[in-house]
Amino acid sequence: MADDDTDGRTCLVLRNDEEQYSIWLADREIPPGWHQESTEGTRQACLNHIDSIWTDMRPLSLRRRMERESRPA
Amino acid sequence: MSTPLTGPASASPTDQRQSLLESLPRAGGRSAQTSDTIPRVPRDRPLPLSSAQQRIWLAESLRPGTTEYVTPVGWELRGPLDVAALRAALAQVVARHEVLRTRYVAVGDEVRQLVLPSDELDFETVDLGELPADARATRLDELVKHLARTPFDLGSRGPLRVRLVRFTAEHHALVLMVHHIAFDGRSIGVMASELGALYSAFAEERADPLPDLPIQYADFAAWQRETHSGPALSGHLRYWRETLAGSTALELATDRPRPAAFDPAGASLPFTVPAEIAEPLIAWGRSRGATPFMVLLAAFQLLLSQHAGRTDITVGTQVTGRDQAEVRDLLGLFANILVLRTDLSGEPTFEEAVDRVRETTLGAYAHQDVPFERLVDELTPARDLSRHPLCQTMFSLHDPDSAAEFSGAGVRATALTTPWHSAKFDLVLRLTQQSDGSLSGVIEYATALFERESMAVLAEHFTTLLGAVGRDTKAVVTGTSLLSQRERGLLEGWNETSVVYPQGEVLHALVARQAARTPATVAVRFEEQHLQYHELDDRAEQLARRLRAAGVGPETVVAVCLHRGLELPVALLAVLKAGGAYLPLDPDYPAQRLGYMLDDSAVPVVLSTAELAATLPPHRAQVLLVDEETATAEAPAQAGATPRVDPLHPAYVIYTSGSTGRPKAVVTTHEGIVNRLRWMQDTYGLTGTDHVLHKTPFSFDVSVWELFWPLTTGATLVVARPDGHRDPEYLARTISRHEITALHFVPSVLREFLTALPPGTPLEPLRLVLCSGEALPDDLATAFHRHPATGRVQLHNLYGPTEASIDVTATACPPGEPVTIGTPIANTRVHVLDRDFAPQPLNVPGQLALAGVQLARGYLGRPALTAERFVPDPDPRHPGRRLYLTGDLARRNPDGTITYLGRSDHQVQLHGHRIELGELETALRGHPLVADAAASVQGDPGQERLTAHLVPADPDAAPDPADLRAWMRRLLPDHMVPSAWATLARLPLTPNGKLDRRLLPLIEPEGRALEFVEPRGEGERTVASAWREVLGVERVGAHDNFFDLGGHSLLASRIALRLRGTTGREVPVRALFDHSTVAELAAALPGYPELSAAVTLPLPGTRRLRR
Repeated sequence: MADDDTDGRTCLVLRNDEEQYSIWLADREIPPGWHQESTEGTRQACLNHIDSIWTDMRPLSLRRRMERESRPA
Repeated sequence: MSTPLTGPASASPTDQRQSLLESLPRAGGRSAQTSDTIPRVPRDRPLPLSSAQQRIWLAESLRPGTTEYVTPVGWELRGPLDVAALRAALAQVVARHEVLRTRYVAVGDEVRQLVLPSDELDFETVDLGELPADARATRLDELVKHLARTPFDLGSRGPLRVRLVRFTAEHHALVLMVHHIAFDGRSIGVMASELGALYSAFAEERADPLPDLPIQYADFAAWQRETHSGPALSGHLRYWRETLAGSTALELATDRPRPAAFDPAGASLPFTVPAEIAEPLIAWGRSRGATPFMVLLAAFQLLLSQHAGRTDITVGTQVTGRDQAEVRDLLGLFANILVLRTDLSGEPTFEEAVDRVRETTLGAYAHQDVPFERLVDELTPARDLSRHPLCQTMFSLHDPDSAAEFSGAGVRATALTTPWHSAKFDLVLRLTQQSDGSLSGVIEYATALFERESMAVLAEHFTTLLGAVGRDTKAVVTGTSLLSQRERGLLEGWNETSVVYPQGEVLHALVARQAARTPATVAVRFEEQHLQYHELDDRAEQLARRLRAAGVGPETVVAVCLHRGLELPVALLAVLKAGGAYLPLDPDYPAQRLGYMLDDSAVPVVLSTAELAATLPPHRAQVLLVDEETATAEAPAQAGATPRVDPLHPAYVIYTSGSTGRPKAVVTTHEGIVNRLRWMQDTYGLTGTDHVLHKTPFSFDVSVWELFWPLTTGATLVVARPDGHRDPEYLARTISRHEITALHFVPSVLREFLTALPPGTPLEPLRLVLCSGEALPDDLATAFHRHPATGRVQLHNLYGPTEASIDVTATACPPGEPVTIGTPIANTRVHVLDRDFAPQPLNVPGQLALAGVQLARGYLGRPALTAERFVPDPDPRHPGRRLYLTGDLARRNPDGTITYLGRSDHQVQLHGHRIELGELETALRGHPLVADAAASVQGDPGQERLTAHLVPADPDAAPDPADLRAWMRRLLPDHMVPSAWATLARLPLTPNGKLDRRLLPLIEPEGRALEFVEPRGEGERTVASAWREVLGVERVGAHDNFFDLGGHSLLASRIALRLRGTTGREVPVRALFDHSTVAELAAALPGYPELSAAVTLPLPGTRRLRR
């Protein structure tokens, strides 16, 4: 996705079940296990959006394990 | 399974003009028939050579004894043979054709044809009747090979040799060795038809039935000289100059490095395109006004475009060059090469590609009267001896025919076959349309460049491509169009790397378990000190408690700023035991860079020594001193609650160069590094007797395995002294003294090491050298295996970015095998992808993308950058997983290994360092006198250096290199400081306005002090002499600066070694950085300790001044 040829093409923000984010060209089929976020736009707009929403980069499964452990027994 | 025995020089036996233009209206262009007739020239005048003959004669005289132009032609004869009649028929052919009894002699500065009135026939018989039937073919093949490797002396002997091989009275082989100067592909048919007619007549005791020849070859040569020169030619030449402007050699990825001089050894691979694929496509072409030649050439050029990774594709084709009626039945060299250049840019559909090829072909044909040799002379003034000029790949289409066969008087002759060829081109694709509608194909290839497997892949790709475009002519050809189901299966199979390792493991737990197993074994050695496993574990545990008390736990990053030493592994292990991830801060980095890292990572704690902590720039972190540890042994026990560390927690965080000028921190997990170390132990198996050298600066991830592989397996970690890693002499001494068994080398440092290593150096227990960090050149692997000191050591090549836990592919590099980066390691998938993330076929270059448990979490505090480089894996078998896009170019070889091809962006690997040119440029642009800047790597392989081109802010005030260097060294590590500088009025741009680094002028390292001062005194003269030799410059002055003269860290180590030899003092490599001028370095010399004789290795080419 770092290619120059994505310039000007519409991109999507995708999220997987670990709540990791990435971008994807809108005209490509969305890969299995990934879901479209609401955002769609230029590559830069998508990246900016990811910067604003992906504030905790720990995978979701790890976050959940950590929450369970911090809870008093 | 057979190829006509016609050699590489043959063109179509049929008139190829027909296949080029067949079924096309004759509108425009060249008329089909030229009306000129060729006159006979008197034989009492000097007879010139034709231009093609001239080229061959020149080539031969440049390489006397070459057999490149020796062409085998042969027939299998069935039936009762009249040997005398056959011999008489051959003699009569020689009598009919002057070209078979011509000598080529230099007269002054000209070469002339000397036609003899008559000539002996070089004819011998060989009887293989005694041999068992199954041995005959092999013996015949050997005979042909031997004959083909026997050169002709064109000045004294005729260009034809005949061998008649007898198997039985009714089974013979007739083998003709002809020199290409007198023969071409069409000549085979002429020879066959004349032999048929003459043999029948003589066997039946009839007279010669053939009509006299109207002219001879020498007449044609004279006529060609006359008509193909002067103004008649200039229009055609103009066409070719325009058409071929800017054309560069088609670089197909080869299986072996290209030899400096082209090696004519060749072989061929036959294949078939089934009728159900070929027929509909050819019919479709006709409906569009495209000949079969054009349709198939379009497919071939598209195939080459994929394999070469470019869109400007030039292919040659041979034409018979026999448009004049009077030359049709002559023996001789008339064939010409037409250069067909097609622009396949802009992702044309197959239809569009065929249209473009049609234009290319018609244009070339209309201007075919220029002999190829003239084109070469006009267009390629500088001759590259490693490849064929103008076109390196050939294509031809032939009709099925029996022209090369003959029969008469009860004997039937069919073309003889051989698997052997000599090659003039990288590869040649010959297709023949069979009467059943299929295409029989042969790929002839240079065996010095290609493996047979790669040619089989190419043939399969061609057939698959024809099928794909036949199904949809409006589709754009991509890598996917070449990919068969079979190949997809192969690609998927190579990524099945699943290995089950124990789940839930974290790095420090592996070390703790090892400590419990072997508490009294030496874990770490540094100079004269050492730690046993239990000591290492105890000290790390104590420090970990202090870290925990300081708030460190999972997801906390702790900066570690230490020199290499005993405390380094203790500190790193302590951070892990506390649950945190360590961030290495190299104390040699500039303060500004360290400040950026502390700031960007926002680490709460820094582990360091009192001395080093004092040199850090201002920061907000709490500092813990490792050297105070024992003093504060009352570390709070209550803080010792061991945290549960999850394998998905970070283990270390490493900064790498960032293209936008900001270095970025890669966050790597326990899961990744544990997998990497488990694979490593499975593969190379360390034991308690192994000693592993840690010499890589710990800011590079290779250091992670150097440190933790021995510590998780009970081996001993030997820590090299600070700065020792770039000192070949110290390394050799350390390997020997500490009985190192395994160590890592960046290839460029390995080269330095081998160069400086005397043959008799005892490196005995050393068994394993692992290379990574930059491409491992084939010649270096060869040098490694040949060096007496390393010849018995295993060499391995590994590949991987920091973003995937050190390495993701690996391979052994046995002697004589081309170096690759191998195959994916355990639980790792590696893909070569096109721009749409579709898998590239075998041998087709693409971007390397990585997947599996070793992928990093991402970049610290950089969600957008992470999202950009870690993308969704489209593979449905791995839903929801990510791919890391490396930016590296590679191809998958037919055996599943991967060959590294370089970078797709502006990152460079120099001496093992990963450098984003953008980061360097950003730093340069920050200088007040610099308006713009471009960085690049220049120089021949092995001599590369980092260069900077600057546009000054004020044209009259160019910045001083010394000032610039000082500026850069404040901002960036030494390896990112350019060693050559130049100013430009403006930077070169591509047509779409981007910086075009390829157009940056070459900078010669010539910068020197303003005023030349002759070196004064013995010290300066000694230093200057060492610089002259190592830097390869003629004159070195007392105030010249090492870096201005093109110096870099590898050269620094070479100079330090040399000075050690001449001064007998222990000159550190660092000396060149600390004292960069001759005068400064000379002044510093007396301060270095004297070498003890015992530790000095004799170096080749150095002289001791002292006894």
